[in-house]
Amino acid sequence: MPSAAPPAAAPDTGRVVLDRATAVAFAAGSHEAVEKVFAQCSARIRDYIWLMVGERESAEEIVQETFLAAYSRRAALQAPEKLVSWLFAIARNLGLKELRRRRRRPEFLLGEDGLDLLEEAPDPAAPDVASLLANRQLRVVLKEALDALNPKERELVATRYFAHLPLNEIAEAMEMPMGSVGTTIQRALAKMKKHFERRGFSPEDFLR
Amino acid sequence: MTREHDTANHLNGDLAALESLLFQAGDDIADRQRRHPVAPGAAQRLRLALAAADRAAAKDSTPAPVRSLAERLREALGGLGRGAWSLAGAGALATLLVVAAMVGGGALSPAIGEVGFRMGALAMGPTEGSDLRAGDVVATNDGGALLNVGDMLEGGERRVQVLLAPNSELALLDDARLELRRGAAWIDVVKNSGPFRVATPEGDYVAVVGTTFGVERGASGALALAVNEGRVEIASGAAKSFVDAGAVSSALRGAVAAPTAGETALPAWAREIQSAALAAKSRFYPSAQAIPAQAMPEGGRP
Repeated sequence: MPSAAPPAAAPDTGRVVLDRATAVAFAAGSHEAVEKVFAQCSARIRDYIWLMVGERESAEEIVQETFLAAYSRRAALQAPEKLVSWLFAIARNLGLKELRRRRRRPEFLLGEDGLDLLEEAPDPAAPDVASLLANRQLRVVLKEALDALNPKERELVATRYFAHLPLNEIAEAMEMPMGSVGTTIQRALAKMKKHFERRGFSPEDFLR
Repeated sequence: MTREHDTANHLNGDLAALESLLFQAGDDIADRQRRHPVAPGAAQRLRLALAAADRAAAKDSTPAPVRSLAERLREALGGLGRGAWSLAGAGALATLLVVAAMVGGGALSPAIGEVGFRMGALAMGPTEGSDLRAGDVVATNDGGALLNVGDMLEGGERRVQVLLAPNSELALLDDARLELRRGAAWIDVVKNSGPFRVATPEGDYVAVVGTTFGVERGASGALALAVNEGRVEIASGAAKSFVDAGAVSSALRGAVAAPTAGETALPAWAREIQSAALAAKSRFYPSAQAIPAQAMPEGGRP
C-alpha cells in the first residue's frame, strides 16, 4: 500500500475557490456574501446532493436549507477558509436526513433511484455519443462494483469521482482524517477492480 | 467535456486506469447534471429566507416574546386583502390550545403525533413534544406551531409535518386526515408513505401521496391550495382536479378552479409560509451535526 494521500497535486476544475474576504463576510452575516457564495457553490452542492438522494428537486430544496442553516449558525464557523467544506457537511447531513425521512437506508447513492444519474437514458435531443455511460455493459458492471462496497467506501468513491470533491474537502465534510479518506478510497478501488476482473473486464476496456 | 483531475491518490498503475474510468464517468454525470441548471428563482428564495431569519433573530435578541412567524405571515399576507389572512391581535399573548376531544372509553387513544414546537410566548397549552391524539383540535392564536403527525418513520420522525399558521385551527381526525377549520398551513408529506388528506368542514379536500403544499381556508370557506412539490388532488363534491408543482387552485361549493399552469413560482402567500417553515425547521431542528453545539448561538436544540 502506498503511504497516505498527499495533498492534491493539480487543481480540480470542479472546485470552487472562494476568496477569504467573501468567506469572512459570510461569517459576519453579509447577505451579499451569502448570495455570492450561493451563486458560486449552489450548483455544485446541488449536484452532490442530487447524487446522494437521487432526485433533483429534493436536492435543490436541501441546498436552500443548507444555506439558511449555515447563515443562521454562521457564528459556529470557526475557520472561514473551511466555509465550502462546512456547507458540504451541512448539506450532507441534511441529505442523510432526507434519506431517513423516506425510510431509506441512509446510504449514499444506493437508494432505489440513487443510481439514476448513472442509468439515465441518454437525452435524445442531445445524444452524447461520447458518453462513457452510454455503454450499458459498463453501467452494469460499475453499478455492481459500487454495490459490492460498504456504505462508507461507496460514499467516498461517489464523492471523490462523481461529485468531484477534492480529498481535503471530503475529509472535512465527512469529518475523517485525510489519510483515512485516501486509504479507504484505495481499498474501495481495489475491490471494484476485482469485481471488474471477475466479470472478465479490465477498466482499460472502457476508457475513452 | 474533459476535466483536469488532481492525482491526489497517487495510485499505482494497477488502479490508475480504474480511477481514470471513474473520473470519466463522473464527467459524464456532471455533464448530465449541467443540463439542469439550478432553478432560476432559487437565489431570490434564499434572499427572502435570509431576511426572515434576520427578523427572527432580531426578535430573539429582545426580551419581548418571539413572534417571528406570526409577524412574517402578517407582513406577507397583509397585502393580499384576504379577510381570513388578517392576523389580528398583535398585542395579544400568543396562545396555542390543544383541546383533547373524543377520547373514547376513558382510555387514551394512541398518540398519532406530537407538537414539534411552538412559536411565541405561550399563555397556556402543551409543552413541546406533547402527544397528539385522534380527535384533538389544535388552535393557534398569535403564534404558529409545528405538528408532527402520522406513522413514525425510521429515524424517529413522523411522515407528515404541518406548520400551522397563526390564527388557525386544525382538527386531527386520524393519522391521515386533517380538517382545516380556519387559517392556513404548510404541509410536508413524505413521498410514497400512503394517502393523506386535508379537508374543510364543508368537505372540500386536498389529497396527496407525497408532496409539500400550502393550504388556506379563506373567509368564504374556500379552500386554496398551492403545490410546491409533487401532485395534489383537490376536490369539492364531485368536482376534482389534479394540481401539479408550482400551480395553485381552489375549491368551494362543488366547484374547483382550473389549476394555473405548473412550473411557475408559488404565489407569494405560499412562498412566505414555506420560507417560514424552512426558517423555523432549520432553527429548531439543526440537523447539521458537524457544527459543535457549544459553538452555536443560544445553544442548539436536539
